[in-house]
Amino acid sequence: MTVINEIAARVSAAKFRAAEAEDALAVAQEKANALASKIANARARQQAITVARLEGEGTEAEAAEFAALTGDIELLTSMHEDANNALQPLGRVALAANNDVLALTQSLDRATAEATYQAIAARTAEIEALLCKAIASQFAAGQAIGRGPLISNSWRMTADLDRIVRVNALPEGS
Amino acid sequence: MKVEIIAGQIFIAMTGADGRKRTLPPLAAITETRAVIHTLQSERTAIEAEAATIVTGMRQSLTDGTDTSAHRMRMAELKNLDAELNTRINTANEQINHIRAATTRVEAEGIAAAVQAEIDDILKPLDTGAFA
Repeated sequence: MTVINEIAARVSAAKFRAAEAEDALAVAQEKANALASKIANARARQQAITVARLEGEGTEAEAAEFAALTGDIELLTSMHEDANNALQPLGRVALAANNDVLALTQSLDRATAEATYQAIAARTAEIEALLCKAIASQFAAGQAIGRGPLISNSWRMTADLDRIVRVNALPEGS
Repeated sequence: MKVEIIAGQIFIAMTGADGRKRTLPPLAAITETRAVIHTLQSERTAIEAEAATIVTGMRQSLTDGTDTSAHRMRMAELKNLDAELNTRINTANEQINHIRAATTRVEAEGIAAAVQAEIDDILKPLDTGAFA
């Protein structure tokens, strides 16, 4: 299990890095969205002031507000651009981290398959050793009742085992 | 700080910036600790600004030939405060690393245990039991 443990540690570390990267991206995205929303609100307010002015209901205070909003929009747009530019590297980091998770997860799957194979092979060897012991016991018991000097006088392979050993094929229905 | 498993999910039991104990998911715990670091760094920035003002004042006092002991006393206080803040920032950074390490270790153990359980299940029908 050492290999599995090592890969599992790398998978969990990569998953955590990916989660942190996703989190940082989400926070940055939220910040960019909030700025975009403020820009939209400022533009909507400017539009409302323009409509009021065109309808002859504009005030001096609104004219001053319109000018201030223009400055706000300019500043917010610049901040929004900065926030959007910051998103790209964060997105790349998150993508790379997720790719790491994917690659390591595949690596873990391969290692798991290998460990499973090795465990079954070890168990098969144990069962085979047990079979040899059982055959020896059966042969000894056969000797006691005069079954003849050959092992095959006492023990015979089943058709299924014979098929595996001689034909290199699995029993039908396996 | 302690890692807890609640309903199969990893949580960090920690003492927050306000001194209250709470249990948070690892990322939230890190975010909270980062916020603490940010606050501490702001305090350090404020200290630096005050120190710069004091230096200017001290120079002026030296030029004027007036007493600078109050300036020096405040500078010593600021130095101690700054050192304390620095220690707290380092501790918080260590805590973040500790959260990362503990969380990934617990999750890695879970992954490895799940793989072992999967293999054990596969081997179950091949159990030699008492015959072995």
